[in-house]
Amino acid sequence: MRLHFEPLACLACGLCETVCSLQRDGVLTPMSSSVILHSEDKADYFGLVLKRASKGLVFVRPEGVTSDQPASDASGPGAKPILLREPCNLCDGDPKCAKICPTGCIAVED
Amino acid sequence: MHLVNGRYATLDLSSGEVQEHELQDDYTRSSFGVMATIDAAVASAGGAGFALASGILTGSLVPASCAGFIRIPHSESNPTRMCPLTGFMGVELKLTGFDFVVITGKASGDGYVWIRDGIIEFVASPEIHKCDSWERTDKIRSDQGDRKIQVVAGGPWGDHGLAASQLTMNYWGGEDRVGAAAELGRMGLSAVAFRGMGELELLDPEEHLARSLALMRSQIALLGPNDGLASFSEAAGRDDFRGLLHRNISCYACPFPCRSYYKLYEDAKVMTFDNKEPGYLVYDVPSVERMASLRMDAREIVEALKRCARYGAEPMAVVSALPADETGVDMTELDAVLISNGPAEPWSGSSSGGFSESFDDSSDYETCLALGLCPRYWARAGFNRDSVCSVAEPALGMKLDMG
Repeated sequence: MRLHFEPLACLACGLCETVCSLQRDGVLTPMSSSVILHSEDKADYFGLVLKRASKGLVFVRPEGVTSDQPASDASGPGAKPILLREPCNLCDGDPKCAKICPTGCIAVED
Repeated sequence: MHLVNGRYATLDLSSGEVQEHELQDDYTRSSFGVMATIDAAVASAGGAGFALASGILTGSLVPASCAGFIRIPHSESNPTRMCPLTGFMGVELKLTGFDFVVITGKASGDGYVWIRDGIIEFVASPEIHKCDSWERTDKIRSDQGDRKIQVVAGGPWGDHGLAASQLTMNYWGGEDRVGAAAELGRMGLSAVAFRGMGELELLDPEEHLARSLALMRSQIALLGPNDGLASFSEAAGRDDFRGLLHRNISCYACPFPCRSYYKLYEDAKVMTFDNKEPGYLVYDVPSVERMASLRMDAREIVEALKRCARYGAEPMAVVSALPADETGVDMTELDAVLISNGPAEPWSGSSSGGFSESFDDSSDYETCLALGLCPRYWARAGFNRDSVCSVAEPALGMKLDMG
């Protein structure tokens, strides 16, 4: 099982961040999630960064998805804060971010 | 208490004094209690000021639980005035550690209020009053080193205390149609900035998630396909708007956005970061419809909204001062109105589609804001009090009274 992303379906609603932290720590906050919403609001450039346990970062940018990026290459917008966070554990087989995503930007695939 | 911080702060700009106060345990019990508590807090702080507040459910998983609000309690010359805080502003404000802050008095020098991590202070910034509202946001984010800081800026029109001024929310406008920008100007305040990095506890996270999911899915099915601003504005459905459309973007937790970002000088369909023209995020439905009725095309409307936002000027008042003919509006004349501090009075004609016009019953608008829910979304999705209570109560751990 892994997460599949459709970048241009993202609305930047931030629910994936919040539900990730809720699943992990039982609190509402965007500060401890394994997925973060990055937004350059003045230029309307936004997307997601996902921290995985063994295969580095996934950048979900409007131009497309880039997987298996090592942390040392994480120089893209919004990459730095995620390095300090716990990696995604797919919610033990029931990813909540995919469940709550209103547009299907985040989905589960086997 | 769950879902809230349980405290608020007051800042007297005249003395610089900050006080923190605990909220009663039943603060989250009722939506009308929130407003009463805020009004009492402003009154006990001296009365002449305003509150920046989040709602009971702001930042939760309830659909469109994005809203915060500014509330200016009634005075001898004005009734109680409110405007929503949209985008991520409500959430960021709540995660500062305060459920609301009360600001009173008058600043002795130029600067802005800065709120984060349970701290509220006035930051002197001698040059900031020379900046337009966009430059204020850029400057504060740069000075404080965080591009996620939320900035509510008065702009030049607000500084002059003009009744037709409008607050700019980071870079965009459309929420303030009650003269809140002039209130900031009267208090000598260039902006209020905040960044939230806290957290909120819930009584029953799993049940709150399950019920929120079910509610959101049922609402998405009811609402149908989303078309961004064009779902709320007839004019925005025109081809000239579609040609400028870059992307639609929602506020926090909203599955049915009303906000569309338009680019004027770059290919709007190119998504790379190299293309980073500061276009304009449009959600000011009444202004779009008003300008479209004046035969302005999409390019003129977006450009006019952008220029108004930089000056902190309410767009409908600005265009009401312009001569319009079959060729639309002359941008040079629009600039002249902005530079000359334009019409002294706000737009008084009819309008529709504004946040405060979402419901026929204005009490529903106030209830939505007290709850932290976007009135525009909930008016469209159907403001069912039982549904809201059903998702809220597992998180709050108590019955919610919405009157």
